[in-house]
Order: sequence, then C-alpha cells, then structure tokens
Amino acid sequence: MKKYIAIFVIFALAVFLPFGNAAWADEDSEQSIHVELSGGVSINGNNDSPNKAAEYRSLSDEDTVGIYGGSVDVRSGKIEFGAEGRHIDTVDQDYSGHLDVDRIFELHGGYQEFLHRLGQDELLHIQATSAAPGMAAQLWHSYEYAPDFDVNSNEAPNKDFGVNYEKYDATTVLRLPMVPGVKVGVHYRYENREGYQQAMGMSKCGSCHVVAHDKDIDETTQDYKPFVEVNLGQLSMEYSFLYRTFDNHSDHLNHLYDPAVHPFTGTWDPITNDKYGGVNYDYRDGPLELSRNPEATKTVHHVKGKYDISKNQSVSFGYIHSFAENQSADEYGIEGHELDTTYDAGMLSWTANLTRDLLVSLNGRYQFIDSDSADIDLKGDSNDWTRDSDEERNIANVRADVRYRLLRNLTLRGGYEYESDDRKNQEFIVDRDIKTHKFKTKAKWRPSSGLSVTAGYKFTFRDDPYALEDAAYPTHIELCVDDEGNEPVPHVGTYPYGEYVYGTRTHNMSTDPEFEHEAKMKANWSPMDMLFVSVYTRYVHGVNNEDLEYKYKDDLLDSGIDVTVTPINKLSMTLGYNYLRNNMDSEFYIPYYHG
Amino acid sequence: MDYTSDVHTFMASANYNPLPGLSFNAGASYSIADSKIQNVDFASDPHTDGDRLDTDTKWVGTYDVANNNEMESFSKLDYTVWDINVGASYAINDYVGITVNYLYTDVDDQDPYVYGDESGQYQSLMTYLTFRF
Repeated sequence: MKKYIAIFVIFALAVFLPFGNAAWADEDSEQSIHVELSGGVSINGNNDSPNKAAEYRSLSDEDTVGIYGGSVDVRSGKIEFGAEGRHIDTVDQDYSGHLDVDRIFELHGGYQEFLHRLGQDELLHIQATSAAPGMAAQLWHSYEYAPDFDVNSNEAPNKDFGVNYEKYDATTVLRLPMVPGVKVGVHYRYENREGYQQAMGMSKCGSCHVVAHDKDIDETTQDYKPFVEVNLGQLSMEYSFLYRTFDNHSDHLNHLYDPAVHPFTGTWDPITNDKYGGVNYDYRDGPLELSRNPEATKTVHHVKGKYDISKNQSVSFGYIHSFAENQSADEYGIEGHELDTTYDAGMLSWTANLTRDLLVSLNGRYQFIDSDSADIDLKGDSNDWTRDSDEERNIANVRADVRYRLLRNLTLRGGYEYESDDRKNQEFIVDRDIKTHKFKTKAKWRPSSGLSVTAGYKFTFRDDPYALEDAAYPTHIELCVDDEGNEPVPHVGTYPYGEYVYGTRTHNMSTDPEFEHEAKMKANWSPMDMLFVSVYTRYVHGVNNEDLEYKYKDDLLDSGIDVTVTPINKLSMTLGYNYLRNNMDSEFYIPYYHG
Repeated sequence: MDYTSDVHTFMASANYNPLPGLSFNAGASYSIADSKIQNVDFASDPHTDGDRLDTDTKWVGTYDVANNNEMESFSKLDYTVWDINVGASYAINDYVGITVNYLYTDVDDQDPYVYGDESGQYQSLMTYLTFRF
C-alpha cells in the first residue's frame, strides 16, 4: 500500500504542478518556520514486578536512556507543513506529520510504538483435587517453557510476557479546483503485534490438567481504504471501500494432550491402549495445534449521504455491505464451509426543526448477518456434528427523539427506541427473538450564569432477555440401578453426558436485565472567576427473574466531584474524588465432574 | 452469590507560573480498588466421597464440593495505586529551555492471586534541553 500512496501522491503532484506557481510564496507572502529540537536523558528505576507499575512503560527495563524529540512547522504562502516526534527508546516512540498545499493536496499521518507488559498465570491456585505440596502427590499443572521446574515448590518460574504494538497510518486527500465539491482520498493503516503471551493447553478434566505455553505473537493488520466525497449543494455523499487483511506470522504452537482415560473402566494400559474415552483427541494423535488466530480478509463497501430538504429538514442515509472470510480454513482441512460472514446494514434518518424551539428526528436501521456453519469432526463417525453460527441474526431498530426548548435556559429531550434481535441459531437460549424497549428523558437547565445542571433518566425493558435454557438444577438420577431400584454390577452401561448430566437440568440462568433503570446527573458551578466545581453521578439498577429460580440484580454507582481553584493568575489547583461501586447478585452454578 | 467491586480515586494537581518562562506542575492520584465474591455456600456432599472441609485446613485433598467455598478468598482483588508526577520548565532565553520531570508509580497488590504478587514500584527522572529556531 505504500506503493499505492506513492502513486497517488505522484498523480496528485502531476495534476497540481501546472498550478505550482500559484501555490508557492511570492515575495509578498507571509513565511514562517519554527523548529524545536529536544535532547536529554531519562534515569529509571524499578522494584519488584513491573507488570502493573510500568504496564505500558518500556523504560522500566533500562537504567539510563537518551531521549529525543522535536517539531517543525513551516508556513510559506499556500503550503503548510508540520511534523513532530518523540523517541523514548526503540519500543516507545511516536511521530506525526501533516502537509497541506493550498487545500488542494493534503497528507497527514502518524507512527506509534509502545510495549504492553502481560502477566503470567502462575497456576498455583489449581489444587482442586491434588494433595498439598510435600505430601508426595503431583500437582496437575506444568509449564512448557520451564519443563524441569519443580511444580511442587508452590512457586512459579520467572517468565516475562509482553507484546510490542506498532502502528502507522496515513491519509491523502485531493481536492481538484476544476471539480469543486469533490474530494478523493485514500487511507492506509498498518498495525503489528509482536511478542509473547501465555496460552493454556487443557486436557480432559481440564480444571486440573493444565499446561502453560509461551505463545509467539507476530500478527499484522493492514487497511486500504480509498474514498470519495461529493458535495452537490443540498446533497452530499460519501463512498468508501475498505480492504482489510489479517496475517499471522506467529510460530505454530502445539500441545500433547493427556490420555483420555475412561472414568469408569479403570486406568490406562499403555500396552493394550485399552479403556479410553470415545471422542477426545489425546497423545495418540500426536502434538495438536492450539491457540492460533486464523488469517482473514474483510471487504466493506460503505455509502452514506445527507440531503437537505430545506433549511429546517434533512434526511441522512447509509448502507454497508461487508464480507469477512477466514483464510485459514483450507489450512486446517475445514471442508464444505469456508467460515465466511456477510453483513448488510441500511440506515435512514429524518431530522426537522418543526419550530424554532422544537426538533424531532426519526431513525431506522436494519442489519443482516449471515455466517457459515462449521463441521466438528470427533473420533468415531457417529459423533460428528455441524455447529451453526451464533452470529447469524436479523436486527431491526427504530428510534424517535424530540428536543424542545421550554424556556430560554431550559431544554428538554425525550426519546423512544425499539430493537428486535432475532437470532437464527443458538437453540440453547430460551427465546431467540429478544425485543428491547428504551424510554429516555433528559433536561438541561441553566438557572443562573454560573450554574448549569443536566439530568437524565432511561428505562429499558427487555422482552424475554437472553437466558440459557435448562442450564442448572439437575434432577437427581440414581445410576447403576435397574428398574426395580436394585444395584446390579456397578457402572454397567454407558451414561452419555448429553442425557444424564446436561439433559437432567431443569431451570434457566441469565445475567441479562429484564428491567433496567439508569439515572444521571451532572452540575457545573462557577460562583466566581477563581472557583469551578463539577459534580456528577450515575446510577444503574437492573433486575431479572423471568423464568428464573432466583432474582438476578446488578447495581452500578459512579459518582465524583472535581474542584478547580485559581487564587491568582499564576496558580491553579484541582482536587478530585471519584467513587465507583458495582454489585451483582446472582447464582453461580458449577458443573462438577469426577474422572 | 454476591460480587462487589469498590474503587475510590483521589486526585490532586497544581500548575504554577511564577515568572514568564518558568512553570511548575505537580500531580498525584491515589486509588483503592477492591473486588470480592461473597456468600458462596457449598454444603459438603457425601456423594463426593471426602472429608468435610476444616476451617483450619486449606486443602484436605478430596473431591468434596465444599472445597469450592475457597472461591471467596481466591477471587478477592485488592489494589492500591499511587501515581505522582512533578515537573518544572524554564525558558533560559527565547531559544533555549530546560525541562525536568519526575514520575513515580507504586502498585500494592494486597491479595495476590492468579498472576502472583503484582506489587511493584517504577520511577523515572527525565531532563532535556529544548532548542527553538
């Protein structure tokens, strides 16, 4: 894409050059050049873990480092050029720049790089079914990157994880004088993540049998987005085409899974390979890949526009067509379905000032998501199945808003929003068509010149909120008994999980509120020039007990105050306090498997 | 089961320009963040064939579901964080200036859990000359 931008710039200059004399400064034009250069040193120190104290600071790894920076600003006639940059170290730097030639040609872009430190899950809390250290038992976790580490020591190996982020983007715009009202441009973005993070391999009975890996990260995202904007007086439109690629150059990560031992028929026999579970892949299938993001491409066509019907009325419209394709499906032998997702959305909005004090707007939006299903291949032909996509759905949304200026210093707003989220698959939820109704009111009031208050309230009602059907409360079944209740030979027969574990659950579970109330208030007060006070609060309360055996509740409170004092012109001070509290009351259902 | 998060954040900052070309700035923030699960209650179940959990013994090495009550302490998060920055900038003349900035961060992890003890301190003293043309 750098080549494409270069071609575009050359094309722009080739068109622009005939007008070059007009752009360059003549003897009477104003010229200015400002340059700033900075150079210095940073002396750094750290104690204990840098993962939180220096989560985004690479300097924590170096005692002393030189730092550089600068900026340049050039204005000469119709040319404006500016650039600035800051270099802290090789993984912490950012630069930006812009060029404007008589508003005909415009280029701006930037580059940023920084480090994000990541933690290591020490796995020391996984002691669910093991004896304590020193009791001659093995703790069922280990570290692939520290194979000789003593897992009974109740310590974790020293391991630093982190990812370097690198991003640069550039936008070029061309406005040709001979075609007024038309702007063409192209936007390019490059993003790269490189480093290591922790990944887990979990065998059968995975809450204990966990192995930590260090996963190589080398992933690149690139966006190429040409666009054109047209302004034809009352009508303005924009079209853009986005082509996005996600490439994964990371090393492949493999895991050797533990033997899938059948829980009832005894321990594993290495000679006969007897007594294995039926469907799990394990060490007999060799190292198997895990934890890899698939490569993908995405194209998006986006059209949007606005038509001014009159001075007081306008209509906006938009349409998006997006196609995302999994490019790794072939690599992993996924036949029949390429795991594509198609997204279409249309939007129409009408806004009108019916009177000087009354503004109304109506908005409608419809979205379609179609996504391929995936074939799941388990051991034994009778266990294969097709997993339909959870993404597939149709979403309809309509909204009406009103704004009315009741008094010179009092403005009221109200609105209603309806949304229908109709999922095509996900047969495990109670109702796949979830309808949401929202009612909103807001007031903005200025009782005096130094005081302004904004208050709002929103009520949300969800008809059939998202809930998993029959997710908990299994009925008790006595296994290993015959129809008369007698116990024959223990563990006779097979007890599929689908029938005897999941199939016996009788009640629903949900963490989606059916009713939700939200109240907000903010006040700014400046009784005198030297004092400014801002107070704010937000409270959200949600409940759901529809078709549940319990009552789900969620409360959120976010409040604070900021005070700024400027006793003299040369001194200003700010004090602030914020309190955030979130309380959720629900039931926690833990499926417990032995063996 | 109750899950509660509480975060208090205190912040103060000041800017002082006693003379043209000379400025001082300082800022500090102190956060206290706490999250926990409460009222977890799994009764010991004879079907899981183990010894009842003893309040003085952390793990008995059994399959008793009552061991899951330990979730309350394992899911407890408790952090305090100090962020302090102090700086000064002086324009020696129209072309040269000097800047000094000091930054200090202190994270105190009072209930280490999955990621171990994440307590740590970081500080840096930055000084640089600026030349203007």
